[in-house]
Amino acid sequence: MNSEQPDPLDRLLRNWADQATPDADHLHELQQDIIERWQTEQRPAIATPMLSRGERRHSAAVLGFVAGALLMALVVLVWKSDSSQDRSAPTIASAEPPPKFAWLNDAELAEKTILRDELIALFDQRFAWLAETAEGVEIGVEERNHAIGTPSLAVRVVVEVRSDDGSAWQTVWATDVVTRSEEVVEITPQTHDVQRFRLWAYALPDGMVWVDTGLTLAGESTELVAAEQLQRDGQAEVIYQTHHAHREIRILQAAAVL
Amino acid sequence: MNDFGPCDRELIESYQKSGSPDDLQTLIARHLPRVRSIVYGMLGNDLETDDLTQEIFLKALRGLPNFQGQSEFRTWLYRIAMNAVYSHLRRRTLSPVSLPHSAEHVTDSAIGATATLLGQEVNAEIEAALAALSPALRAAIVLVCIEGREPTEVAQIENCTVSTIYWRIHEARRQLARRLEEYLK
Repeated sequence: MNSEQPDPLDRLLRNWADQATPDADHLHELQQDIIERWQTEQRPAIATPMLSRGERRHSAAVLGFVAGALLMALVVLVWKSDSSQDRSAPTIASAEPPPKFAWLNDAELAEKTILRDELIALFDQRFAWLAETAEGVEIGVEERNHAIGTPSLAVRVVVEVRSDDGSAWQTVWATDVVTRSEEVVEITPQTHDVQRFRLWAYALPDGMVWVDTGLTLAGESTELVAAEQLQRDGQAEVIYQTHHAHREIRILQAAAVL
Repeated sequence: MNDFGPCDRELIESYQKSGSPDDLQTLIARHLPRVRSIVYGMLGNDLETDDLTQEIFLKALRGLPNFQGQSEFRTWLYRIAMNAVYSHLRRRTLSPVSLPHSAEHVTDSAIGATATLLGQEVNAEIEAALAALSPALRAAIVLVCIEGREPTEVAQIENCTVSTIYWRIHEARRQLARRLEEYLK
């Protein structure tokens, strides 16, 4: 076969891909949808939840601004209960910067790097993740060895509450996670306030970390809070904040590549 | 390729300085067709593809303040796209891929009804064959063989070695060729 002729399989696949390409109008409409959603998110007020055009009918995308427009983030709420009419709209807008203890500082990151190295050695490259909480430590180990050199990440998640009279925030649950990139971390905390915790994070080429966090918060109606956040360098950010039943709840998160 | 206009980095810097929606429009318009095509190749479903493509661009736009340009914007964007796809596939607990859908794109006026039916059958087989691949193999074949990306760039996007990408392409091609044998003659 002439080497300049495309391989029949490649030709078949490209023909298929060409036929599946939508027309210019469809792409333009899609582009406008993205711009409109982005502009909605950019408004400094509490964003109106938006339904996607597809199957995620119970999802709502909500965004607010951190004062000074220093960061932007998305909070996607998946309501598991229908009885949420008295709940005010969640937002991440907050004038209060995250407290220092929510950050992952250099010394802590160095300690976690050592911990990661020891666990990898202990479990012969099968170490996947570790989650430390006040209740104890859970470790995820894979059946197979991982490729050497897979990036590892540290993530700190802190859940705080306070009454709506403006009293001080109180930490009700926190975890430090050390995980290989793209591992699903899942634990079931034995606490009143957090009933389930799930995290999936990956390292981007630019040194940033994408963190997909899900928590089931206990309350009058159980809800799963899912937040997706792009973070770096151990900087803590408020990824979720809401007001419910005379109390405020917020979730702080920091992440870094080890 | 930037069509002689400002490069991605210049558009991002301009947008960050001015907040001009025109810069954003240009940036999205430049990458939307390819990103959607990659997502479609991975999911094989128009509706899911459009939804996820929107989410991918919103994630990227939210991340722009942190983008430091240490990698190409396109590579960075594709990495977000692929991870969003993997995340989506993990959450899609029901049927692996909704099939088929591409018949709507086939124009039958010129080629006749029989050819259209044949085309639909081939497309459905291709989609089924792609869906049968593991996500990692599918990503390799979509990014390299369909989208024409270099294996070195795909290795960056997929966060693995170039040799791994070559192996994935080889394995994906082997599986696809076996399944699509009758259409390759």
